[in-house]
Amino acid sequence: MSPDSRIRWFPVLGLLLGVALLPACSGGGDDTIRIGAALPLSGKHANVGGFFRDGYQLAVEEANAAGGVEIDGVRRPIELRVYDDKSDASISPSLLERLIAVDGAVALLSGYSTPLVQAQVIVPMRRGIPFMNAGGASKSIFREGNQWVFGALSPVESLASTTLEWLMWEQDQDRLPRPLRVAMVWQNTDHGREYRTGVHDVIEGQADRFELVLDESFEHLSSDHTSLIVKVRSVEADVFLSDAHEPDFLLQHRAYVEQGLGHIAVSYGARGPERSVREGLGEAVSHLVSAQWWTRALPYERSRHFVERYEAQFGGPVTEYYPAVAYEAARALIAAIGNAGSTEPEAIRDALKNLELDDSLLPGGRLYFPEESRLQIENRCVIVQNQPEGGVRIVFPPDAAEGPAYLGS
Amino acid sequence: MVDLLSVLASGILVGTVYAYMAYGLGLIYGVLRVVNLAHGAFLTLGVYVTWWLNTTFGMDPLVSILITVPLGFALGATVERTLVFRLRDSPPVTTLLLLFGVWLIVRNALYLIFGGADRSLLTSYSLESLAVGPLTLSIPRLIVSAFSLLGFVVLALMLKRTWSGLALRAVAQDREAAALSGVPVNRVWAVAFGIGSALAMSAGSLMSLFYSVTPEFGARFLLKSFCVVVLGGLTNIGGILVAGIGLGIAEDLTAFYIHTGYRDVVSFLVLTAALVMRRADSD
Repeated sequence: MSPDSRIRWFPVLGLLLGVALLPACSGGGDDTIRIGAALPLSGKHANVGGFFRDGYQLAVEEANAAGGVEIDGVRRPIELRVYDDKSDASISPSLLERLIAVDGAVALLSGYSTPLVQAQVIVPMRRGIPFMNAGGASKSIFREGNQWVFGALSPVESLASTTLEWLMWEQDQDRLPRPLRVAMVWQNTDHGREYRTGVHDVIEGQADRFELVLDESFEHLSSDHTSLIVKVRSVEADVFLSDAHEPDFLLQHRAYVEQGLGHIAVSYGARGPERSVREGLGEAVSHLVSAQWWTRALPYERSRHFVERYEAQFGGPVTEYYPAVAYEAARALIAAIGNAGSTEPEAIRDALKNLELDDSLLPGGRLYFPEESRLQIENRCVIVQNQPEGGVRIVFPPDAAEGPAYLGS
Repeated sequence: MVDLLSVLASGILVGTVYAYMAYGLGLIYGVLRVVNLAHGAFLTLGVYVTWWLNTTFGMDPLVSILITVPLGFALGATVERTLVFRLRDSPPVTTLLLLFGVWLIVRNALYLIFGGADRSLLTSYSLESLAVGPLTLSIPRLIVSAFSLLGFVVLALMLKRTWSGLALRAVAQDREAAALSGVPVNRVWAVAFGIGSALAMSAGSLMSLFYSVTPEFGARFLLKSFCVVVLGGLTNIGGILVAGIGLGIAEDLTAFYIHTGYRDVVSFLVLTAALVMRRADSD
């Protein structure tokens, strides 16, 4: 190597050295505990990404207002660092790498949507960093032997199983016939397949209660649902269950209304209470029943506290579950760091495994991460029904119900 | 029997929407021999302009066509004059990539301006239907079908009965011979691109009556438009209408009698078969 070429290499070596030292500078140089998230703040999930950022931020602000987290006898503030992954699963993992390597994040919070979270979890699993998932419900995110990914969102199966539990409860009240003829259609995605599994898991062995008269998939972003709805009409079911993302839900329910169908109960999984849905379909969404991971009317102290704080800070009625689950996930992570009394990944992970929040805002009022479900919470959901004048009413479980459900004829 | 008739009616209504989406693509390919990958951008712009006019001024989507058609023409002609024209003698793949770039720019601009949320339009007739004997037909879909047929008639008359149409056909058949005969080829190209884009934007306007408005709207329907154009015969407007209706019926019959999940498979099987048969014919 000539002296000239050595001189040319100096700036490169300097830069590499600088990058190598960055984690030490930013992560360990002050007393702040950093946690981070790569969120879809632009791109197709931008609106939901904003809810997640707000929910995370609220939990961090509350923790800091309470004096931060005690580590080795010293109270330290929490800092949330967020990057925009532009709803792109190909760049999301590299942002998590940056949060760990450059920003010195001791734990991570998830982004939103199953495909994005599926791409993200590779990083914490490889790097051995606790990762709190509030944005992907699919069981496929939680792999065999998982030690680092914790799920604050119950599996998609819970949407289906809670809906069927509600139907059984209505049967027990003699408000629904036995057996109930069920027509089920599901989107051919991980989400839809898991919803179907949830329905089958409950229905099998319940022949006296349910008769599944249609079980059919449809493709995501289908150009028309009329023929599927005609098929639903032809099987003469009592109940119509569907699992669809919003664009398919809007088109499918439009076809349902146009074809003049009517069932005792109609549910599109978690779809229904969103403001955008009422904007698109108006009164046609009245009486739709949906399973939710959270709803503002839950009669828990923590839930009321969250609604009050969130609406005071960000305005508008909180109608979506996203910020609530994000808030709860961040709250659990911060509690675990405090319980660990350490910023070591293994200590935080073990604290998360042992964590049990008894004042949770989630349905059931309890947040925990059971080993038997690969560290994903398995709480029941809450069933709500859209009201004609707007808003929703909780109709199940009984201890949270605000009144009986309206059932069609 | 009622189910079969319902499915057939639905197939026809969906098929006319497919045809409407594809007219512009076929016209542009016929005259310029350019595969317009920016077609999805114009469809998407159509739904967004309509949605914006509706939510801002309460304008009905049917009225908004009066704006989207001239806007589409102006935007299309501008894209042709400023971009496509400059690459007219380049290999086809260059234009293909250029127009793909235009689409990406439009899509990302829409993400920046409006975000990625699904949005919808609700009009007084959005969920109305018409009972015809035992059948129930969606009013918005009937409206779009009527516009699709009207578009076909206007386009066919324009191509056959007007000087501009004659010029378009002349350039489509032989560009050099048309130029030697005094046809202003450059202007014809701009007009063809403008008309094709106006058709795409007006299709987008009307489709906003029942589809969600998102920046990915064009991606959802571009491939379907290609299927219809290839099946109908690249430059044949009547063929495109028949192909659209045929595809709509085939999809709905497959969805009803075989499996809903195979609905989109039909399009791509038909596309593959059409391409293979065309290739065999040309050999």
